[in-house]
Amino acid sequence: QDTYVLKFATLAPQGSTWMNIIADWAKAVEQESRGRLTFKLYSGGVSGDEPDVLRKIRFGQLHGGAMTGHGIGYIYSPVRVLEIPFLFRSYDEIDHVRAQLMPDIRKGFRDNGFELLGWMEVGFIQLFSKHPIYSLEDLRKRRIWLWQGDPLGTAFFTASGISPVPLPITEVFTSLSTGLIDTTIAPPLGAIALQWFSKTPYMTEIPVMDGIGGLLVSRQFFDKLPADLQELLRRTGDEAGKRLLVETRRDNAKSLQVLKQHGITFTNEWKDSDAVLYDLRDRAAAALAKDNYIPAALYTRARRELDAYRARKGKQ
Amino acid sequence: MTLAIVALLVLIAALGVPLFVVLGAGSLIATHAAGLDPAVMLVEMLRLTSSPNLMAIPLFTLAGVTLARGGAPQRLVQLFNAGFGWMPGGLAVVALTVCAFFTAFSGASGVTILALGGLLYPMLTGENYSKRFSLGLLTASGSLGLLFPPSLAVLLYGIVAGVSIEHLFTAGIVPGTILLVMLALYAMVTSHRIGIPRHTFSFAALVAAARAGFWDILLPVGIIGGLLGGYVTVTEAASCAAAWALLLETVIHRRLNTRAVYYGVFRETCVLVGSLLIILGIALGLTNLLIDAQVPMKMLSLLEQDVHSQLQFLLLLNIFLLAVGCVMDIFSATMVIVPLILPLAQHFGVDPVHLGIIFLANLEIGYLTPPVGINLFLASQRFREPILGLFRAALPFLLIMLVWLALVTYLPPLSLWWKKI
Amino acid sequence: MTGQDSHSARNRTWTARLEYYFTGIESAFAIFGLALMLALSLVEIVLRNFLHYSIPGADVLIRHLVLWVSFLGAVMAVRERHIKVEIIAAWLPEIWHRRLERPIFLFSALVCGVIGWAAARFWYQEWLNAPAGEQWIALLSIVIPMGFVLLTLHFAMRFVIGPRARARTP
Ligand code: NA
Ligand code: NA
Repeated sequence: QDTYVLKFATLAPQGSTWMNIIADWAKAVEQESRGRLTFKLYSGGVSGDEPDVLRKIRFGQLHGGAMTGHGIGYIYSPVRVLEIPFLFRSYDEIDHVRAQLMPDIRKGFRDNGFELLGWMEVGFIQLFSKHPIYSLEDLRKRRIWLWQGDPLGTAFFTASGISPVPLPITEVFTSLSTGLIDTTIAPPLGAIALQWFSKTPYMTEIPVMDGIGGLLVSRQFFDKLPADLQELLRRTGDEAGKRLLVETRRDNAKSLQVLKQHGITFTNEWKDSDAVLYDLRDRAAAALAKDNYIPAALYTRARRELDAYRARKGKQ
Repeated sequence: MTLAIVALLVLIAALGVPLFVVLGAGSLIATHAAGLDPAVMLVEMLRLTSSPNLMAIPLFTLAGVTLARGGAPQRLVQLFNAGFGWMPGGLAVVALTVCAFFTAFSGASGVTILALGGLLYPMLTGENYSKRFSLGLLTASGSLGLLFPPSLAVLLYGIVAGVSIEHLFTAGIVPGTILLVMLALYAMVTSHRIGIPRHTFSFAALVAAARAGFWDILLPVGIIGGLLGGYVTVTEAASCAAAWALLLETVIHRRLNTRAVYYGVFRETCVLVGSLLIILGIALGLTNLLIDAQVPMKMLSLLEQDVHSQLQFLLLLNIFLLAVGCVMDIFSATMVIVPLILPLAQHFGVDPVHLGIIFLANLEIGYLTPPVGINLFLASQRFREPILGLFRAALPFLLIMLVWLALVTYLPPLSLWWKKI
Repeated sequence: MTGQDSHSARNRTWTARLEYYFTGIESAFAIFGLALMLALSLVEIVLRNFLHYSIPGADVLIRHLVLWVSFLGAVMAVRERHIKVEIIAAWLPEIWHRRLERPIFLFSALVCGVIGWAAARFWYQEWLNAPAGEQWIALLSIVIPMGFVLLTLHFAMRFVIGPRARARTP
């Protein structure tokens, strides 16, 4: 019988929650397939930033990866409607809206050459900085990181009148040390896993957006697998995704404690009103619709689902 | 089979095929053997555009070339001679200091011997230093300031290893100074032994020299202060240094006209930078293939069997790097060897900043070791002396450097004293 | 260190003249790129530190300019000097240097040609897959295939022209 090797890359470093679950997943697949399908894992960004991983997938050096919204944007950008800043207030809202959109999301990935094996999340993204930040005005004075090549971030910063410093994620840590940037965005778990928090004594408790993620494999690889292995990958990937979702949420909450223990100061007195932030959100969404990065119709639909959900919740 | 191919590649490199071509051929063979598309090499090359610190290399090179062409060497020799010439072995100490200074600036590209050798050699022999001592001194000091800002070798290590360049420069200050002091002491003792007369100090001469050299001195002071004080980033320092050097030589000293800037300075900078970064681009592609084949992981498990302590590892590392230094120059070695030893060093608990200093110290010694010793080549060309004779002349200096290497390797606090625990 | 071209274009074969003019144009582009890199980075320092503003795309442009300067510089270095590890060659008599030059240039041209072909395919995929608004970045990265094609061309020209007096190299 033929054996297959799935070369799978992720930014998550060895020993992080994410990597542990992915390693478990790899082990499970290897066992259940009796060695017919094995993983080669490239963790901690050794294969480069997500766009680099996608390039390597394109030329067949890699076959899949655990991608965040950034990489997903290069494959099928409309999914990132779930990442629009200041849209969601809770995990329930996110889970509801995503469930409504899921069939379209799957199809979107498939049409763009990828199979979505599992859905995950990196969590609510916060501001980590060397100086306290209380307002957009403060933010404008900072050297804030923009994930290079990220239209969503660009739209948000442009709408806010902020000049960010575009860098690949692999350069963020050293750039924080050298002062090229003094502010970065990350979920608490990410700030710890990537060691960024050691350079940023302040965290601003304003959930900017919910970072999405997916376990993806190229169809170039997936379609060549026999049906039973495809099924195995789908099933175990889905399980791994569900575990990732639960444990990420739990560990993000735990991470706040860890950050406090390390002496990170949390600031939560945000000076701008909600109206200012919502205006920002709508202008960013409009800019993204103009480039068709996130179609206007999809944004409207997500808003409608969200409003319906909130109305129902309010009645209960 | 693999061994035969590697041997063949080494042979063609030894016959004088440009290094980037050798590495390119190696990468093509390796991609083919791994069943990969050679286009994956280019993915890594494109990654060069995502390194924010990379632009510091062309800009610092520009600053160095501008100064070399603009007569800074003469002004610096005058200044240091007025300042230190009165000491025992004064001129030898001056030579060491100016060379260290200038190596840091010219990026350890070998410009030091070319730019300063012709100036200092007649001065030294004119003061009755022996021919052998003078040649040895100048050959050895051609790479002396390698660890001081804004040395290109340090920049490149930082970029390849992903280590903060400011940290590397901070770590290099004490080891670099110790070497300078060790060699200066040797020079003083020697000149005392052969009875070199001492000069009298002239305040007027110092003032005159300081006037001429003031603006040159301002540049390294500004860079070191700005970088280590955390006021500017490496790239900002590089842009300012290049702009300042150009301003200095075209407006203040008026040593360069437009034509000289275009043909001499800018053109030469492009060639220097191009011949360096094309190797980096290809070497990154080769590294990608090594990671793809999980070579570092395999090397690690091999080492784990026989090496059990950090001390053992460091000893092996030094022997290995000295051997590398014999056959490779510092830039190629950084790009090819660092990605391999970095994970090993981390496994044995060696700080990547300390590793950088050890690595650079070893390769600095490599400048003096045949068969590939850049300083020997350049000095042989400049002074028209046979390579082997120069090597003999530089031998006492080389031995002192080996002692220094042991100090730097086995006393990590010399490099890491500033780090909070 | 050749610096400015001391030999004029006269008294040469047509390939040598072709090489001379080509290198002149490439140098002009490289020098312009380096000057632009310096100017842009200085402007950015001023804007960022005093006005908290940054020219959109300037960062990315500067980082690509490094690649432009490097590739064109590498092309110029074919005529002057590339970094070599010539352990054996350094100990060989002068005549052997001259005998080895042509085969070395031919081999180099071949290797650069193969990489250039891969680079062209790589770049084409970059161009096809560039997200909206980032085509200009893909366009900047055309220097990679272009660089290898020019390197191939120059090594080939050197192969045809053949050895030259050693005195010119540093
Ligand atoms: Na860096
Ligand atoms: Na050597």
